[in-house]
Parts: sequence; structure tokens; C-alpha cells
Amino acid sequence: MRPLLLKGHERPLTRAKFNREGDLLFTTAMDKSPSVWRSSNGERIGTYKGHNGAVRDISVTWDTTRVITGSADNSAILWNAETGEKLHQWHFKSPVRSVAFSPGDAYIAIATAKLMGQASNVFIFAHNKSSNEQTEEPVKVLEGHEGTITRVLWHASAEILLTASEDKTIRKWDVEAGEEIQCVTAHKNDIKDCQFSADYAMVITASKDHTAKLWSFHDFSLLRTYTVDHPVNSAAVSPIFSHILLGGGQEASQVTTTGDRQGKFEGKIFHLVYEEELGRVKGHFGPINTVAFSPDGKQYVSGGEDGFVRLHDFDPDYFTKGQEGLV
Amino acid sequence: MDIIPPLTGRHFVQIEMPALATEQPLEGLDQALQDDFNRKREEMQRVAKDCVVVVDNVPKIGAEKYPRLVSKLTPRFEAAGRLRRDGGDKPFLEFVQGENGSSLGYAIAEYISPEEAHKAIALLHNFQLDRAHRFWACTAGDFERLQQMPDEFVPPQALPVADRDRPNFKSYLLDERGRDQFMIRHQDETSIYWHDHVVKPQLDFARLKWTEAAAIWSPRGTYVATFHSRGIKLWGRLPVQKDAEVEYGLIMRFEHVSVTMLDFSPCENYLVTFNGTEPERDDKRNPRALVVWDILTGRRKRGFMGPPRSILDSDGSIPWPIFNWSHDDKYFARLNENAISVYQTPDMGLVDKKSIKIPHVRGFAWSPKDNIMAYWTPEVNDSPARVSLIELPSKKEIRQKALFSVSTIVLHWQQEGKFLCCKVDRLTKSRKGQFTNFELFRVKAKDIPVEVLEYKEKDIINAFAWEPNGSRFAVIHAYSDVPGKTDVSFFTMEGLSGELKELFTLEKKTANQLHWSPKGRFILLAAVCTQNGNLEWYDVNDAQGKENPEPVGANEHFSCNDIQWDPSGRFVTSSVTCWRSSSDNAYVIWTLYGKELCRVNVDQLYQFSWRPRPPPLLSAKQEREVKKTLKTRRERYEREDKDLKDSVSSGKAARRKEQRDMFSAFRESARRIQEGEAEKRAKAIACYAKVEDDTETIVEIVETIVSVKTEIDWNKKLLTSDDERD
Repeated sequence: MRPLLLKGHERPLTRAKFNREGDLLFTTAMDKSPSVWRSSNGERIGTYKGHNGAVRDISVTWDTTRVITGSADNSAILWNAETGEKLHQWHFKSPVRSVAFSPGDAYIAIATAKLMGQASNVFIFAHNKSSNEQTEEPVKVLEGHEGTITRVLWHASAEILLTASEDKTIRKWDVEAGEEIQCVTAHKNDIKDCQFSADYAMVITASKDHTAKLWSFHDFSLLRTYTVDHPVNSAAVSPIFSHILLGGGQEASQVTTTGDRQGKFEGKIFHLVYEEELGRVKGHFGPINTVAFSPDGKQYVSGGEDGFVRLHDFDPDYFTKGQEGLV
Repeated sequence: MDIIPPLTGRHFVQIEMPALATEQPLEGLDQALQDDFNRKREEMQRVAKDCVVVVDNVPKIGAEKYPRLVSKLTPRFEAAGRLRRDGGDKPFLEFVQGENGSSLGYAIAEYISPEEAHKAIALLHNFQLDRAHRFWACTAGDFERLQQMPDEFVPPQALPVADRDRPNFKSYLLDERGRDQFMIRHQDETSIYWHDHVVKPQLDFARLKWTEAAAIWSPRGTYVATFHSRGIKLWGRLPVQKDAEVEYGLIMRFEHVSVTMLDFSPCENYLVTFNGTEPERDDKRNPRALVVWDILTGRRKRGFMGPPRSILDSDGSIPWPIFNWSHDDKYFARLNENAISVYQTPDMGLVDKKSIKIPHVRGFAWSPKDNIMAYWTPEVNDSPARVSLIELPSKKEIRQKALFSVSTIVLHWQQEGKFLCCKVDRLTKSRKGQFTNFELFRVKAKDIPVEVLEYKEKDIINAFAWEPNGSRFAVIHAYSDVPGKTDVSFFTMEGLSGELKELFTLEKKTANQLHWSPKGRFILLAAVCTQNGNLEWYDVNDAQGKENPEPVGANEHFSCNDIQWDPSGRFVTSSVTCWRSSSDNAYVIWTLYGKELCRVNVDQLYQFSWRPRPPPLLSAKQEREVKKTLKTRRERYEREDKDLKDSVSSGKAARRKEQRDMFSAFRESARRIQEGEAEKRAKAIACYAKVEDDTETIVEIVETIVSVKTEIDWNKKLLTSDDERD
């Protein structure tokens, strides 16, 4: 399996996400240009120009007509996905860390960092799909996290919001009431990423404490723990197999002192139930910052501190060989 | 301990006790309260006795001079501590008078607290009043105790061995599979594992923050010593009840503040601790830098000063161990300036009450099996350098050899004490070049003949190692004329009285360390602390007849920095600890053929150490018997190994099934919850359904397929993975 090496970003990757159909790949990096790629051949279709700082997260509407990006320039921008036209810009008092369209795209959740004397909050805005005019005032502000929120996700019901934070907790929020429903201290160190399983029944969290954990979304009970020997920056659940994908590596501050062989910059695939490592995918020469499965489970993407995006197609073997003989 | 002078006043009266609130217990109190009262009263009486100080050897004088005595000595007693006073501010101080008014030669003073009393004793005891009178002071409590002391000395009864109530700390030796243990220290945790060549290492015991520095096995594996800022703690594995958790019990505490070093005597009778106190700052009369302890009683046997500056290593570090023990714990010796001090146990005194004077002595080493010591002296003026062998305790010199143009000598004893190798670095005539000789002493042969193995000028010797139970040795050497070429040569002494002979040479090796198996025959050549970490195993028995000996196994452990054979000589570990590298910390267990048995990644690995074994209990004859019947025994062990393998793999299958079932149950409940939410989910994306007519149905299909497909693959997965495994 030779991955497609997508060169285009100049700085470490922050997020890679597929659209609902899986034909497009959206990536953001510490540079100012979120990019969109064709997932079938790795061709770059274009970039969204307008941010004035590192871009931390991107979200796409159900029908891939609009895109929202959140940036360290203290703003989030709503774009026309196809033309790259800037439709609206929301300004905040601290950098934006995560953005998410609600299922059905009636709302947008924007999480800000705990920086510049600001608490880390989630702002919920109503999204006017038919117009470029957007309201400046949030519908709700969710307050409570003690550390920067690293990821905000909507549950399929569009009534519950999930947040993961550097304060080591994951929290569930009732959006309607603007209240926290449940909070659990999930890790011993910062949670860097958090993703739903395809059926929204499970949540995987990735943490600097060298583990990724699988939770039941319904009651936040811990289902499984996947332990590795390096910080985990991102984790995803395969939509088709009982597999977990982990990406991470030694922290950027230590990377200069180690070679790529020692830095553990491999993507790792674990068995979801047995917590056993099934395979590793080499390639990056910096920590992996973000991973994602394509919606059909036949591809996955990893974005690294090295500025590269690697788009992997699983070998035919992967689908037939009892899923143990990987890569 | 001070010798107590005889009391002059033998007819000493009963000391009056300070009045207590109630001497008689009140009526009607219940037993518990009364007991409590009695206990408190005893405690108060004890404290009261400790406040009273008895002073003897006060001048005996007539009645007419008595007031002068009182006025002269009262200030001294007052100055010694705060005296208790009565209502009229008169101190409780009496120079006891006889019937005729003359003083009887002793005084009784009462101070306000036991602390004040002790302070006063410190000042009054041994106070020289004049030439004839030297005070002798103690508390009334001590006085009473001394009075009750019988005049005849009765030696205390030794406790019968069974009553010592010492648990069997060697329960680990009763392991059914005869496995060895090893200890790893990583992050805050110290863990002890069973090593089993059939399955992965199994945890026996682990504790967080067990030690503040290293954790060390005693030389026979009985104890674990842990470091703490206040001293050393010694632990032993307690006998385990069936199915109970393994516990390590605290056996003994050795209080030695800021201890940094630790050494056991070879038979585990004594412990030496060192806290780095410099000789200039130490108390000469009661040194606290080095302490020798008795392990069984926990008593401090003797304190010693640390090493003087003059014998520190060239980089200023302290040579450890400072004391070298003889093999039988009878003697321990240290290097001093121009002398070797040999102490004997159990009285910890110098042998013959004096050190062995050897001008300019630079190093010494005990034979591992006899009380023979080898030492060397450098060239001074016109006298040559010498290597000498002396016998203890007679100090008789049994062999001496003079050597010329010596720069330094390293002494290597063969582990059974049969041979001694002196690696002699010599200077060439011009005094510019250097070359190495090996002077090989046949210690057990008559007159101790010496053979010499010479290397060319500028050849560099990187390592030397005796075969632990044989007469062979190996040398790693690099050539001066061929840069980068390193060879490993093997030699034999041919038994006790044969002839030195080269066996074979392995050319162009990257190895920098030699590790013989503790049982001999096999050797691991390791390139330690290098990029590749090459490891090569040789069977020397097999290799010595061949032209180009091939290794029996070769492998690599990337940048490994530590090699250790297990005590059975069947396995060897290589490890990368965090002293060398902050990442890839791991240990690998290899067989003696270089086959990897297991590789375990451990974050922040500090230390890997095999548990040493005690000396075997079988006689040589019994051991031969065992070797003869090895074939039949072998069958049994192989069968056991296979059974274990099977049960483990089937156990794994069982465990996996359990995990799967639990997870299926979760999936089931998750699906029910999901069904309950279906309406909400559909509603959330309903807006798109209006745009595209068929979206709603697509949504339904997608949801169903995803979950069904997961289920199917799930089951398929289970079958395939388990089929492969079994």
C-alpha cells in the first residue's frame, strides 16, 4: 500500500476531515490556508484564504456547500465550500480551537481557547443556510471547562454536544438548556482529540498520557483502554471493522533530539475489543497530529507535525484476511 | 560506655517521690478505668524519677563546714538546669547529711522536667570539682535500676532458633516450575516478575515509590534493599497463602541519613552503607560516613571514616565498594594510603590490631574462593612494580612478581579462584608508547607459576573476561596498525597445570563487551552503547576446533546499554534504560542461542536485574547424578512446558470470548438506545430530506448497513482469529 503523499501545507497539520460522502478531504494546518483535496487521487482543489493565523479546525455541512474554519487569529470564518468565498467572520477574544456544524446544519458550535485571560467556552450560533447574513450574537454559551477545549462534536440527535478538553475531562451538554449533563475525568493528561464511532454509540479520546480510551457515549462508562509508549494526539474508530486507529509520537519539543526510528511516529491500529496492537504504518517523520477514517472505512488520512498529509488506501488483504494481516 | 564507679554511700536511702494527686484509686471505678489510672500513675512516677538526679562523689565534710559546701555547690547545680522549687522558692536540692550533721558525700536534686535533668547530668557527670572529687550523676530511675542489678553476671539466654519468628523469605525458591525472578524499576514503580520461557514475564509483586533511588538484590537473592533519605530498608518476600496477594515484608531498617551507597557482604551477614560524609567533616571518634551493620540483628557494628582524598579515583569519584569482603564474610579490607586495612568479623577490629603496611599500594583484590589477597605496588624510584599474593590471616606472602616499566595494573581473579590475571599496561623504553601484558598466575598449582601473554605496542585491549567455571578466557583487542579492526581471541590455561594456549580468534568484530554465561561454555559478544547494538552468541566448546567459528546466534538490540545473564545461564537480557536514551526503553530476553523470547517496552526503565540464586544445596555427586538422568527428566519438563503452552492459549481463547460477550452486550444496549433516538436523528437532518426527496430513505439505509455490517465482520473476525491461534 503506497499512500498518497499530499504536499501543500507548510506547517504542522491540525485537522483532517472527510466530507459526508468521503470524496473530499479537508485539512487545516498551522499555516493560514485550509485546503481541500480530492480523496480519490490526492489532487488539491483549492485553499480558503482569509485567516491571519494558524487554523485549528474545520467543519463541513451535510451537503458540502459550506465550510467553517476556526483560527488562532481569534476568529471563525464561514466559507462557500466550492468557490472559497468568505461569507461571514465571527470574532472572539481568544483563539478558536474547534468548530462544528450540527447535524442538519441549523447550528454552529465554536469553541475558544483558554488564553488571554479568557475562559474556554463553546459558543452556539444559529446558522442561516439560505443567506450569507449571519447573526453575531450566540444563541447559547456553554461555560464550565477549566482548560482549553480541544474538540467539540455534535451528537446525531443535534441536541447534545460533546466536548473534550485539556482539563482532562470530556463533557456532555444539553444544548437547548445550555447546561452540562455529565462530566468525566477521562485521562491523566491533556485530551488532544475525541471522535465518535460511526453509530455515535462510542467515543474515543486521545491523550498525552499515552493512552486512548473508548467510552460509551450514553453513560460515559469506560469500555476499553489502548496503551502505547508515546503521547496520543488523535484517535478514530473504523466505521466498518472493530479497529481503532491511533496517531501520535513524541512531543514536538523533543523531536529534534531523536531520529524517526525512535520517535514512534507511526500510525497504529488496535483491535477495538482485545486492546491488542494489530499493525503499524510508518511514514511520517514527525508526530501524527490528526487521523480520520473515510466514511466507507476503506481509506484513512493522517496529518503530521512534519506538514505532510498521508492518504492511505487499505490493501485488499485488509478486508479479507481476518483483519490481522495489515499493511 | 562509661564504667560506673562504685557508690560511696552504700546505705543510700529510699528516694522520696514527689507526691501524686491521689495515691489510692477511687472506689467504684471499673477495671478499665482503674487500669488506665494505674498506667498513668506508673507513667507519672517514671517521669518523676527521671526528674530526680543523684550525684555521687560530692566531698564528705564535717557539720561545721556544711553550710559552706551548700553555698559553694548550689550555684553549680542551679546552672546545670532549672531546679524545681517549693512554695518558698527554695530549690529541691539536698546534700544529704548524716546524723551528726556531716555530709555523706552525695546530693539529690530535682529538676523541672526529664529534659532538664538530662541536661544537668550531661554537665554534672564527670565534673572535676577538685583533684579528689569527680562527680558521678544519673537519674533516680537509672539509679534504682542499677541498684537492682545482681552482682553476679548472668548471661542472657539465647532464644531458640524457632522462636525468632522469622518468616521464610525464600518461598520464591519453592516455585513449582523453578522459575527465576527479575526486578525492573521504571517510573515510580518497582516490579518483580517471574521469568518463564514459555509465556511472557508474569508479575509477582509491584509497588509504587518503593525506593527513592535504586533497589538492590542481596548477593544470594534473599533480600531487596531500598534507598530512603533516612537510610536503607531491607525487604523479604513473605510466604504466600494460596490465592493471596504476594507481599514483601519490611525486615529491617538501617538508619543512615542521606545514604548514597550500599554493599552486601557475600554471605549476606553484613551490610555496608555510605553517606558521602567527607573525612574532614566527620566525627573522628564516632565516624558516620561508612557504617557496617549486622543484617540479622539490625545493629550498627562499626562506623568508619570515608576514603581520604588521596585514594579517590582519578576523576574524583569514590571507588565503590570501599570495603572488599572475603568470600566467607570473615574479613573485609580497604585500601589506605600506604596500607591495606583488613578487619575481621564479628568484632570489626583490625586483624592483629594493625593495618598491613605496604608502601605505595595501589590496588588489591580478594580471591573469590580463598582467603588470599592479591595487591600491586607501582614502581617507585629504583624498585620495580610488584604483584604480591598474601594469605590471611597469617599475612604470609605466598608469591611475588616484580614487573618493570609499569603504568598500571588491573587484577582479574577467575571466579573459582584458580587463576589470577594481571592486566599490566607497560610503557615502552622511550616511555612514549604503551603496551599490554597479561601475567597469568596459576594460584592452585605448586609454587604458583606465572605465564605471560604479550601484546604488541599500541594494541588496545578493550575487554578481558574469565570463563566463570573454566580455565578459558577471552580478550577483545584492537590493532594499532590496522585502524578499526577489532578481534576477539580465546585462550585456555589447560586446567590447573597445563600450558597457556590460544584457541581461536574471531576477526573484525564490533563487540566491546564480553559476557560469559555464568555456567561457562557460552559467551555473548555485545556492542553495548552503540548504534546497532550487535549481539553474537558463541558456543566456545563447539568453536574451538573449527577454522572459522560461526556464532550460534546473532541479533541486535538497537542502542542497548546493559547485558545480564540470568543465574541459570540459560537466558540473557539486553536492555535500553533511560540513563542512555529517553525513548525506546525496553528489555529483551534471549535464549543462549540468541533467540528472542520476549521484548517488553517499558517507559522510563531505570534498572533491570535478575534475582541472584543462593548456592546450590546439591553435592557435586548429586549434581553428577542429575546430569546422568537428564534425558528422563527432560521428557517431564518438556511435557510440562507443552501443557502450560496449551492452557495459556486456551486460556486466551476463553478470555477473548469473555471480552467479546461483554462487548456484544454493550453493542446490544447501544443499539436499543440508538433506536430510541432514531426519530430525533431523522428530525435533525430532515431539512435536507425536503431538498432531496430520497434523502430520508438513504439515511435509513446507511444507518442500518453500518451496524449490521459491523456485526457480521465481528463474527467473522472472531472465527478467523481464533482459528489461526488454536
